[in-house]
Amino acid sequence: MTETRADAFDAFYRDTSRRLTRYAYGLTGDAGEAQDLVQEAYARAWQRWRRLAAYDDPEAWLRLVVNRLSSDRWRRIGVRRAREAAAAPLPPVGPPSENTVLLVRAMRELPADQRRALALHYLLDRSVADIARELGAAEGTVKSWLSRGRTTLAAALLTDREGVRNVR
Amino acid sequence: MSADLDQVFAELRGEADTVPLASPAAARRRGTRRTRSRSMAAAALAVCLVGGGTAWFLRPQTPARPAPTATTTARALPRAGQPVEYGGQARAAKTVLLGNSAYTVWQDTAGTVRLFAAPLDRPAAGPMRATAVTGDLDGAYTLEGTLVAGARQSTGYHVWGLDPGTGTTRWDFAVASPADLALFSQYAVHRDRQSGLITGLAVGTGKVMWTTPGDPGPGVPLLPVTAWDRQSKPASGSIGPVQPSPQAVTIIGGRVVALEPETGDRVFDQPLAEPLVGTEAYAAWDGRLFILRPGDRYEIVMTKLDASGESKLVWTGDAGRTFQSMHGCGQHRLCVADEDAAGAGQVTAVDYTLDTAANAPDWSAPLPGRVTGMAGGILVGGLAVTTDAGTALFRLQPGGFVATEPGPLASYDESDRSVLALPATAGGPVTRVVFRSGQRQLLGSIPVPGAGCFPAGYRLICPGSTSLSIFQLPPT
Repeated sequence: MTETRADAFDAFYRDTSRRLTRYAYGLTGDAGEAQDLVQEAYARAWQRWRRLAAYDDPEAWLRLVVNRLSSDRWRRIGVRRAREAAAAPLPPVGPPSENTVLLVRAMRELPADQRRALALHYLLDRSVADIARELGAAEGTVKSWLSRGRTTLAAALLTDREGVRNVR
Repeated sequence: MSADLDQVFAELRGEADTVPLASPAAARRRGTRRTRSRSMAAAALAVCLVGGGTAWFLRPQTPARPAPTATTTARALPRAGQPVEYGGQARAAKTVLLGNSAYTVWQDTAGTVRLFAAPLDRPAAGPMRATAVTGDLDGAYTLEGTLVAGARQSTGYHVWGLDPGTGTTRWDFAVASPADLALFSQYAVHRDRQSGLITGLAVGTGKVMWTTPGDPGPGVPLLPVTAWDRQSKPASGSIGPVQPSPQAVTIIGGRVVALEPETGDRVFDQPLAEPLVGTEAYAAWDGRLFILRPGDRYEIVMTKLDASGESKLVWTGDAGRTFQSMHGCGQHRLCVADEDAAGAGQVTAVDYTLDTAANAPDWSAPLPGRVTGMAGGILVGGLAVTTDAGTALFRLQPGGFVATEPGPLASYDESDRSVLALPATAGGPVTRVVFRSGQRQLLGSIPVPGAGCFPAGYRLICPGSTSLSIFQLPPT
């Protein structure tokens, strides 16, 4: 059995797509949008797979693409249009829970570095050292981002659910 | 209500893990479309800039165009019974046959893998059984009365032998990659990358038959030696095909070693002519091991796994062409797919019994797009090369191009050497393609995607995303 370029890509997709979806969902809070962003990121990865396959961490490149797409509303609309025009619809997905809506809304208010650090830490179980490496920051800086991000999120969630929820 | 951030994030993770995803092939298709759209836009811009000059780039000859698709108004294939509902949305489903029943393993969106049986003559779901399978369900077979299921996990690949009646685990083992696994009709041979230990296991009982030392690390794949004249069970997911052949071949300590799957005996053991550099590709076919050596002009070296131990160069790629894939294709032939710098694919059949000095191909043909793989084990008398523009079918002779099919294929009738071309993404026509004549016969249409469908006698069995459908194929 010979492993072809497509086989290698498919294996990479299977190994990483679930994690990338978590990340995209964490940034967007919308399952349909996460589907689109993940598909778009892998489509771009396939376009440059020869080069990407030689990277030490091609998954980090995918997260970078998702970051960029998720932070640009017009790109997101473009991605969705492109998918709707060219592909069979994916199965419908349910709406996010109330907690997810609140969390993602609060995440969006955070500076980008804090948001990415929190997503990597809470959704992908990355260590501080890993996050520092991926974001090109010192470990102390990452700890500071995580701490400040947590504080801001907790306060925001408390405000959103005041009287109903207590967030530590 | 009290919640902390860990809980809220855990809730979000749980929701994210239920988001359905498209297949990797869909991502590749989308990527390919993007490339084409950009190329077309760039070409259009170039045309405008040169003041209306015509720039029309042709892909190399035929088979550049997909075969004409049969009309979608084809009469629907009659169903054999009602669809057998899973009771939920499946993110993966595999059906295998055992006796007169179809056994379906399916994975719901939460990741749980279940199993049920449905009699072929009166399809209805038997009791739904839970299984211990975890990860992303990937492939399944029935071997020696055991349902063998494989799943990708974050740490590698896991294989289970399940009791098809109860879903209970008879045996299981983990490998780092499907490349460390070779399946045979009665045995599974696998390698542990940490220790290098190679193990032979009887799939019917789970009994470990033998172990032998191998090389630790990524190493060289374990390859079942396929035979040109014997039909194998087609690959399922990233495992298989399952071979009735008597050898698994690999490289241990710089030596080409062929192992007998039942006993682990070394039936061939000979040093490599040249040391490996780590970027080789391999194929085992017709009692021979083929090793690709990359380079400015890639080379394919063959070692005969018999007493002669003959080793020789059988093919050298043209300068500037990049190797993509190779597979045995008929008696004494190896088919090699490569592409030029612009991505134009080509397949070449090499007669490896000839004197290498000639380096003359038996036949060669252009491909409709960039090569993504070669189908093994589904065809007798033909070759299928998958590209990003469809799957090109060839009969094994010069000028043997038959058709380019946009959707998946399934082996159909060995006696007349035909295949079924199935609908790609949604429902559509099912067409029988005969290799010898190139004749296409529209059999009917099905309302489900063709991926995963396979024929069994006069039935077409299709595990879909919510139910198992069985259709009746007309006599040919």
